[in-house]
Amino acid sequence: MKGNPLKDIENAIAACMSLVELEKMRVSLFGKKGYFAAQFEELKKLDGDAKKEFAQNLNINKENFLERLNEKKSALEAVMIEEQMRKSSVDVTLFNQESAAGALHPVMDTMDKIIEYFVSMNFSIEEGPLVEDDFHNFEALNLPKYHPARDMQDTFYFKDSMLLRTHTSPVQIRTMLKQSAPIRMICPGAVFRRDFDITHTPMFHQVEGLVVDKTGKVSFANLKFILEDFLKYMFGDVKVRFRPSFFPFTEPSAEADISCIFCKGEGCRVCSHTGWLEVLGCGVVDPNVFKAVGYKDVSGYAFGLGVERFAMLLHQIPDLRSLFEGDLRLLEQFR
Amino acid sequence: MIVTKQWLNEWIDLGAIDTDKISIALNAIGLEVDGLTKIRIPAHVVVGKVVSCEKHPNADKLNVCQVDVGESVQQIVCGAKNVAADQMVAVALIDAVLPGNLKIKKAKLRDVESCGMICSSTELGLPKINDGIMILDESIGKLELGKPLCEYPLINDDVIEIGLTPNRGDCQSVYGVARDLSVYFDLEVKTLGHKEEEENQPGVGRVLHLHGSEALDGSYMYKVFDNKEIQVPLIIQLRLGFAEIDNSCLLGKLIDYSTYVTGVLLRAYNQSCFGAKDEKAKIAIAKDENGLDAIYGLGGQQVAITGVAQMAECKATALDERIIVEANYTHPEIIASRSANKKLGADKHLYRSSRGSEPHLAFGLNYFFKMLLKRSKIMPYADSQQITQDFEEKLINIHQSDLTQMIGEEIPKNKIIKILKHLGFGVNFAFEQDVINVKVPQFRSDVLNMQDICEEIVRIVGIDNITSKPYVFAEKLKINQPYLNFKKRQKYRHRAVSAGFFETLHFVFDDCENAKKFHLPLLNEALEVANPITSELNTLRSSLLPNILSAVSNNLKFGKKRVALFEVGSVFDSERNESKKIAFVFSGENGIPEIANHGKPTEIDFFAFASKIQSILGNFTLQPLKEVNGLCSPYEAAIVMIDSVEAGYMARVNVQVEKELDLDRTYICELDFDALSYQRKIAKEYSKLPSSSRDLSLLVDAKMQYSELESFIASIAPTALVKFAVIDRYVHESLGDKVSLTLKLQFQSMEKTFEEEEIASMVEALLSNIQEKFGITIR
Repeated sequence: MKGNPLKDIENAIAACMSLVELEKMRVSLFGKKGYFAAQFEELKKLDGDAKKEFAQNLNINKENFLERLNEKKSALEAVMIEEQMRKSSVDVTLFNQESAAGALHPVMDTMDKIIEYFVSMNFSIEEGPLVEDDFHNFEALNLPKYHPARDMQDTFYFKDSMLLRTHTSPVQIRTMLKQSAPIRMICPGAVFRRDFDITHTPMFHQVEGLVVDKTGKVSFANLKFILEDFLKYMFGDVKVRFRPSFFPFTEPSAEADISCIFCKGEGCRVCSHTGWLEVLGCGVVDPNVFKAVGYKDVSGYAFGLGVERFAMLLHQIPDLRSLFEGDLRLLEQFR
Repeated sequence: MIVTKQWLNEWIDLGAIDTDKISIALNAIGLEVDGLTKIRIPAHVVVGKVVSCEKHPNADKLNVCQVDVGESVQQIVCGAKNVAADQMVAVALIDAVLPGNLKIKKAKLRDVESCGMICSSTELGLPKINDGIMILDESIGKLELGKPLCEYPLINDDVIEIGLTPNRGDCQSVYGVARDLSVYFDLEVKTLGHKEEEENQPGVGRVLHLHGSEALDGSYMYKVFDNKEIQVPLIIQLRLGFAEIDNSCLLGKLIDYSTYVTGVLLRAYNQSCFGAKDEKAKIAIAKDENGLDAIYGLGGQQVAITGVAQMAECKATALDERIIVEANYTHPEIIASRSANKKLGADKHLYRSSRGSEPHLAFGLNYFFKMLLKRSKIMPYADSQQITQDFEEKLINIHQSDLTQMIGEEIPKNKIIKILKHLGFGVNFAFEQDVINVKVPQFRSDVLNMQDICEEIVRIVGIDNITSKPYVFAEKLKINQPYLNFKKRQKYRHRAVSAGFFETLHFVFDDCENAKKFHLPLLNEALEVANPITSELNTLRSSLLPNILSAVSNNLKFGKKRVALFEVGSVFDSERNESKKIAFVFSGENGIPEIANHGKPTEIDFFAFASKIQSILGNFTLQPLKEVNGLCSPYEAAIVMIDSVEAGYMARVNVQVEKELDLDRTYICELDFDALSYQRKIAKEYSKLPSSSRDLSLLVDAKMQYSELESFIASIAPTALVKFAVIDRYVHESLGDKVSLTLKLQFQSMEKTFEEEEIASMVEALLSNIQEKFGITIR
């Protein structure tokens, strides 16, 4: 066998520019009238060693060309796929930034975060009605009629002397009447005060917490512990300060402040230049509350916070009323 | 409650203590500082004396004054009505910069040169005290001509605003705040000092006769004086300004001031209410119809209700000749409970009396007279007349161990005793025993039990000084129904967000008129809100939709083309029973303008809306809604069935309502939240073999409801028909009163892969059944 015709074939395979050409090439080699068919005809004419040698070479060449053909096919296919992908190339910067997704309301989202903390601390969630009676909303919470502290809470009344709860605290009473100590609960929900201006809306949201256990089990120090932890969970690395305060249903009572998250305690407009932001109220449960629900030999702590206040601080939302207007200009920012 | 550092300084020696430290101390003991303003009079404002004051030659309303400012006499043109010769005044010299960046320069006013300005109180950053210039007197310190006013500490004061909690009646006075603060700083509270000599004066008995009926609740003390001239010193006027107390009467100012400083309730009466001129005044005190103490005068006329109100005619003014001054105290609970919800014409006393005024009556009266005698020309009668009630001493026994349990750490016994004593409590104890006997002072009517004592200890020790400790408890399963409700709410809210809806929050209130207009359930009249805040919020909502629709409307006004909102919230039926609903509203373009839609997204339609809702809810079916409320279009309205239970409805908004609210094409859906499923899914056995599908187009009567066909197919379908649905509906005039429905049928078996012929025969069988039943043809 001379090398030249074979080399030509190899070159011809390499020169194929498309799968169609390659197929033609394959047929010219392996087809019924192709090169190898002709060569096998030639083989028939030979005998003995010559035939044996010719056959051996023929098989090697056949293998060789098949391999060349397949290699070429893969290469041509790869080029085609590349071409196919190239044709559908995009300008990624054409991406439309406007999203079709919605968003959770910042207040409800903040409430979820608060709930998740306390659930993780083995608190139960409790619920109560929005329309309440005087007993659960005031009387049982050591707010007898004509108590000056009732002035703190401007109440919506109904014509039948029921009222819209002014805080989530009546759920404490309902839970204690239904269950027995130990109790670890939170109550998230809407509350109502008859007040409507820049810093007040007639409805807002609170999360209330209550822990009750045997006398001596729950102390003011425990209350401080969990609230410090909680406030750091919510606001990050802040300082927490407690100030004595007054709530009719706790004694001693306190308000918790965090160091201002805007000015890091340096003093700014948001914190009225005090360096501190008031964030929640708390205290040791007043014995009159336990008396109202018939509990004996127990101790407990309670706390309550305004969810809107938390959401406004966390997301730097300046206007309370804007939270209740369903205004997409605000809501779209929380996508 | 507003105090100033210098004002407090009259009662406790705060000398070197910085105001910021005072502020920290007040916060620490539970008197929250709401605001702190440091008043500083600007430089180049000095004491001056008006030497002469003449009318301006060219201006009616101006005066030309020569003002002695120590080193020189300056000519100053002044427009104030009250300017006059010999007045001591505050003069802003050339180069002074007053608050508001007002620079004082040499000026010509109508051709007359003016070298400075005679200032009013507000021009210097002080409270408003009158309509003209501020006239100085020595109540602010010795007046020296030319001395800068910034060197008078009494008017360069730090004003501290305290947010008092309602239990702290004892801190409703400057004295009370000072008394509480003294414990923190371990300072002595100053006393009033000597009573003025009254020995040569006639006794009060000569002009006053006091008669109290039995069974009174209040204590009373009376003094009388004859009045020549009453003056109110500048410092008092300014401090009343700081405290935002407004009283146009000079005597009234002094009465108010004394009450504000001492906490003792004081009233001044004109003697003519109790007797003719030069006769003895006869004061009678008895119960009124509400069980409150009341003061009666001439002819049994009621002139005041103790702690609540005083008849205007009986208020003494600075012009009256003989004036009776009363100090009174009643336990706050009596006043609060008996005056509540009654129209008694209450004045500012009620706020104080119902929270607890100062019971030490002589203290208040003596302070008033001492102050009066300093500057005014009066003749007081000696001594006083009084009616006193016995004070029932409140004794509380506390155990140190109880306090330790409550606080969570032990406070040493001697510290407890020291704190209580300093706060004015009487303390008895035996060192070997755990018990401490505490006697509550009369001015602390808020302290009733051991917890109150605990609070006193805690606030003086400082809450920040108590070490936080974890609460140790046994874990317990806390998953209950409300928790599951919370998780369910979260699930659907998150899904709604993914489907492009924004969560909103609205008040649970609505306008009654809205409910009427939209034929929504109305709250029973007898159960209505009694004191709504506005007419737009005068009832409880029975649907979430009106509020959301109005938000949609507003968003469209702001230029939005596509508004998708949802809310989960409480609604109320006509019996005011509360339930939770979830509502969705979608208005305008279904999608954002983008390359894919060549910038022209299609408008939302019923099925696009329904499929959005489906991506949130999962499986549901729709049935025609026959009776719609006023919000819905009756032609695109459906009942939403979840697990064969009616969950609510979805519909297009009635076009009339769309018009009124300026809405684009809008769809609504409102569902009972309880009807949404939150159950675990049970997996069924499924075929591992490939499925085959066939499309089938049927010509059906245009009026026929698809559900008829659907349920028929379902009833006759072989088990191998695992799914079928309409994928096209073709309407054309060539079809007459028919429409073409294209159904996609999907066949699959558990056991085998179907041959072409098997499927063909199943389709054939279905078709012949359908033809037989409905007489419809294949297209």
